[in-house]
This record gives sequence, structure tokens and C-alpha cells, in this order.
Amino acid sequence: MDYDKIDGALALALERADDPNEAFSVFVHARQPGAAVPPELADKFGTDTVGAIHTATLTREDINRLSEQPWVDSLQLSSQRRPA
Amino acid sequence: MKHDKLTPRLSIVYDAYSDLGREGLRRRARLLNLVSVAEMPKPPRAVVFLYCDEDTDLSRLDELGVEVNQRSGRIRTAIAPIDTLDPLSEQPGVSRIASSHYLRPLMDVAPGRVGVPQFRQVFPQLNGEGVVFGLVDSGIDPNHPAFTGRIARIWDQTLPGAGVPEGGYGAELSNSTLTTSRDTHGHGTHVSGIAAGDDAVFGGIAPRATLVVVKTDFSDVHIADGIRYIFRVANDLDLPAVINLSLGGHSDAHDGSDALSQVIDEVSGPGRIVCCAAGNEGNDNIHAQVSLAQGGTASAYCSVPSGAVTAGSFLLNGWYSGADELEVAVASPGGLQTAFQPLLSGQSPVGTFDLPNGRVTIVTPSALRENGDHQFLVLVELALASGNPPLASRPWRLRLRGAQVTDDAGSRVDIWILDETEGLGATFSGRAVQDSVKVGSPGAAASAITVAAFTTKVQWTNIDGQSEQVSLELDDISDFTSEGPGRDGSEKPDIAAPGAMIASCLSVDASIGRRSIIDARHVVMAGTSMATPFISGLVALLLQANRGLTPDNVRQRLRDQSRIPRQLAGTFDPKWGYGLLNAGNLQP
Repeated sequence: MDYDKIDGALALALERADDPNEAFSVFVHARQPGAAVPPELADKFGTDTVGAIHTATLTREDINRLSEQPWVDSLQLSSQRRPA
Repeated sequence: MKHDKLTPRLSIVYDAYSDLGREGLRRRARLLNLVSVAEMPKPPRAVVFLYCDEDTDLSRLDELGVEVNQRSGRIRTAIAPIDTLDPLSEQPGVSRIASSHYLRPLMDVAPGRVGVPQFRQVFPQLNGEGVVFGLVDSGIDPNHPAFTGRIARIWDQTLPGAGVPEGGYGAELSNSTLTTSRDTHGHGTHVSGIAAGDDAVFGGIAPRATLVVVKTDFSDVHIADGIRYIFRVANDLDLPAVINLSLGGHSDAHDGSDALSQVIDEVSGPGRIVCCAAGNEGNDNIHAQVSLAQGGTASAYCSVPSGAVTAGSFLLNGWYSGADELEVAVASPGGLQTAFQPLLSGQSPVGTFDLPNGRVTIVTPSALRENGDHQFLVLVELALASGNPPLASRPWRLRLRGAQVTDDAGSRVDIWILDETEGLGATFSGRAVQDSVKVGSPGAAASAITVAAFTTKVQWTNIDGQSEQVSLELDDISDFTSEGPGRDGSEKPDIAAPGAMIASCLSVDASIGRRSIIDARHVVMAGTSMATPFISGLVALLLQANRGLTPDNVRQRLRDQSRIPRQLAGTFDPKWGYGLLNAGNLQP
């Protein structure tokens, strides 16, 4: 896991997750838009080509692998908004 | 009575009322834009235009019971009791009194307060037709007659289904399946009514717009998917679109660098505009700011109301320059303190400490790539560690220490406090509290039009015939509206629009107290949520006239026609933005 690519909220959520299969809703910021998404993640990304910012629901293992990918710039955990 | 000053329609009204009193008006009320015809405590009134000289002082008309919505201008709007038409016609400064020309009466005061009737008079062809009004919110009541036949799609992210290309979850609905989605909160239906409701009583700004609705669970990832969905559908329909985001939060850096704001910047462009609420935390001590010197320390105190809960948690979201390095500690109400935790790079940045009054988790990661700044998080879980009850009467204390401060002026730290347990009510206290920098994501997005709330109404009559009132200052910025600027100094909010108390559509599936309900179809609400669709609706009208307008084009047009009372045009204020919009002179 490259923790330097993970925001504080995602690091906290991963630390506290008991279930290894728990899924996290995240933003994935790409360093190299246009690169190919790894085939095993294409379904979760809904595309096989990297854009600037993706949304995806990923397991801890997915996040671990993604954080090691050179084209991935950072991963951020989703946060809640509320009606204003 | 000077009859030559009255338009023929108003003459009919006056004669009918003179001959038969209230009964003479009853059958003509809707056609003639009359107000309070059936409400016995109030005199029947007409929505009128007053033609006068630019600077004529009409303030004395208050004494007659005439509510004039503007202090200057050659054509002003007013609500006038019918029996004041006689003395009104005798006013030397008034040259003409005309009834509203619309079959859709403007029964509420808010549109008149921001010059919408004048805008409509100049551009009567603009009604939102051929423009998508996109909503990401709690949904919409698909059966409300104000939206009949105009909802093109609903992506209900909360229903089971195969999703849409932008996200493989939820259900996409259209035509006969639209009614599968319900707005049990009522917020989205109310917001939609303000922007795009086609309603005989409380008409929206763009009543012929096409609606594309995303019912969301309010996760920012799903909101981002919803924004992309609406713009894609609008593109498929070959229509320009404005998206209304009457929502917000404080888990971001308040500088527009968060992912949701970045998505908004990415997808906005010509004919693709996003309007956002500034937020409703103007009265809440949710923001603290401290400054640290090299080796120095600073504190911020966090209070939980006594008796509020016996357990719960709150989160501190702190940000400071990426050039500096701070250490973070927390002291419990009992006085015991965690160790100072430094930046933890290249490893898990999470440290957990058990204190007698709760468990504290501190997260100190390396600088964020999106803005180059450092974020730290502190999660305080009350009384979970030892079972000791929380000491609510004394505050928790966040302590910061400057391990590396590069600027001689010190390291500025901004911290926001968020309830992790709903209703906990944790706030900052003490000197560190700052009533500024409270416009969070997505209102902080650079390309978004961010809207503050102005109070145009403080009284209404509820469905039970009881008079209701709120303690807001009439004709002033709503004190609940969140203050800017951005943490990066960006000028947010952009402008102000009516946000209290606003009457609009009621979702039949929402559980709303009768105090706020006006009738079976309408409810009053307040918030920057209500101000935002005023602007979204106007943007829809602008896009109808010019579908190539960019966010910067729209922002400049709106700012140019906004003004803070008693201040020079072009003055920015963190609460008002560039001031209250006057749509009367707005140019598409």
C-alpha cells in the first residue's frame, strides 16, 4: 500500500475496517489520463481508459493494488454532503 | 381617483371591488393576479407595476399598506391592497399603475424582490424551454402538477437497478416508470419548484425547462456521477443545462481542490453551468483558525452540549501549508493528553489513543497531491475507551505544535468540526472560533456559481390558518448563510438571492410539520438551498437565449447586476458575495 497516495479519511477507514471484503466508495485521481485501466478493474471503473478523475467502489485489495500503479496519482474516500 | 393612471384590467378590479366588495373579486382572482381574496384577515391585493421616475421616493406608500419591492427604478413592482388604488393613483410620483401581465400570478414576494418581473417583461419569451434543469438532491415528487410532462429522466441512485453509464447502481426511470421514485424528504421537490415549477400559485423561474433529476444518497462520489449523468443526458438531447446543487459539507479543504469540485470544474463549460449553495452554517461555530510559530503551540477547544448524548463522535478536519510540518495532540476534558503525533509519511498515518473520556484517532498523512497542503484528521469517540461517561461540561482541546514553520508570519491552520453522530452538536469554543471560510464543497468549486441567502419573507399563514413567523431580519442577508471566502482567498459566495422564507412545491411523500405547510401542494422552507434554484432558474433563462454561455460569462453577468445595500457596486463581502441580484437589468 502506497500510503502517500491515500487521503487521511481513506487511511482512517482502511485502518478501522474489520472485514477484508468491505468496499469503499472512492475517487481515483489519475496522473496519466488516457492510459489503460487494468482489465480486472475495468468493470469497477465502468471504462477501460483512464480519465482524470474516476469514481469506483473498491475493496482494500483493489486500493492496495491501485495505489501501487504509476498512473494513479491519489485516492480519496467519498464523504457525505447534506441538503443546505 | 385618477383612472387614467390605471390599466384597463386594474380598472375592472377596482370597479368590481367598489361595487361588490370581496365577492366581486373572487371569480376574477386568478386572472387578475389578486392576493388574499379569500383570506378574511387581509385585504385583497393586486400585484402591480408602478411606473415612476428613476429616483422617486415611494417609501411613504408603506403607510397605505403598499409593499414596494424596489427603492429605485422607473418600473417597480408592488403588492397593493385594492382599496389603495385610489390614493395610489393620486401620488404625484406615480405615472402609471399596471397589473401583472401573467396568467401565472406571482403570489410570493421573492421574485419581485430581485427584479424577476421586470426581467420577464423585457424578455417575455424566456421561460426555460429548450434548457435542461438538472437536479441532484433528495429526488422529486413526479406526480406534482408543477412538473407534469417535463421530467425527462430520473436516475434514482437509491433504488436497486443496473444503473447508468456513469455509475452501475440505482435505476434510471422515464415516462411511466418515473413514479417509482419518491421524494420522501421533500427538499428536492421544493428546490425544483423554485427553479422550474409551472405552478399557478408559486410559479418557478423557468417553468418550461426540461427536468433531469438525480435522487442521490448525498455521497460526493455519487453526486459527481450524477453531475456527469445530467450533462451527458442533456448532450444526448442536444440541450444546454444548468445543474442545481443545493447541498454542501465541510470534509474538504474549502479551496475547491476536492474531487467533487474538480469534477464540476472538469465538466462545466459552454452551455454547462453548475450552481451551488453556500451553506447554512453562518450561525454555527464549526470553523476555527489558529497560527503557529516555529516550535510554538496553539489550541482549539471543542465543546459537546451537556446532556445531548451519552456517546457519539466528532471529527476535526484540519488544513495547513504543505511547506510546514505540525504535530497534533488532543487533551480530554479530564486533562489527560495524547502524545504529539508528527507527520507520518510512507506508512499508515493513523494513530489511536485511549483516554479516560474517549478514544482519539489522529491521522497525519503526507501532503495532499491535489493542493499541495497538509491535512490532518482527529476522530474523537466519546467514552468508548473505558466506559467513563463523557465530561460534556468541559471541552476537548486540540493541540498543535509547529515542528517546521517556513513563514515568519506563522503557519495558518484552518479546522472544521463535523458531527459523526447526527445531532451531537459539537462546536468550537474560545478565541480560535472564526466566522469565515465556511463555504465548503461543492460551493467552493471555482467554476460553480455559489449562492448566499437573502430574507424576503418572515411571516406566512400555515395550512391550519395560523400565522407563523421566524426570527430573521427582513430584507437583509439571512444570518444562517455561510461566510466565505475560500481558504485560498477565492471570492465565495458569488451572489445572494432570496432564500427565506420561500414558498414552493410540497412533495406528497415528505413528512413535514404542518407549521411549514401552506396548502396541500406548497410548503415554506429556508436555506441557501432555496436561494440557489432562484439563480439556477435564471441561468436556465440565460441559456435559453444564449446556449453558449460559459460559467465565467454567467458569473460576470450575475455579479454585474448584484449589489450589497449601501455599498458601492462591485464590492465583495464574505457573507454577501457581490450582493443581492437584481435581475431587472440582467442581459442574456
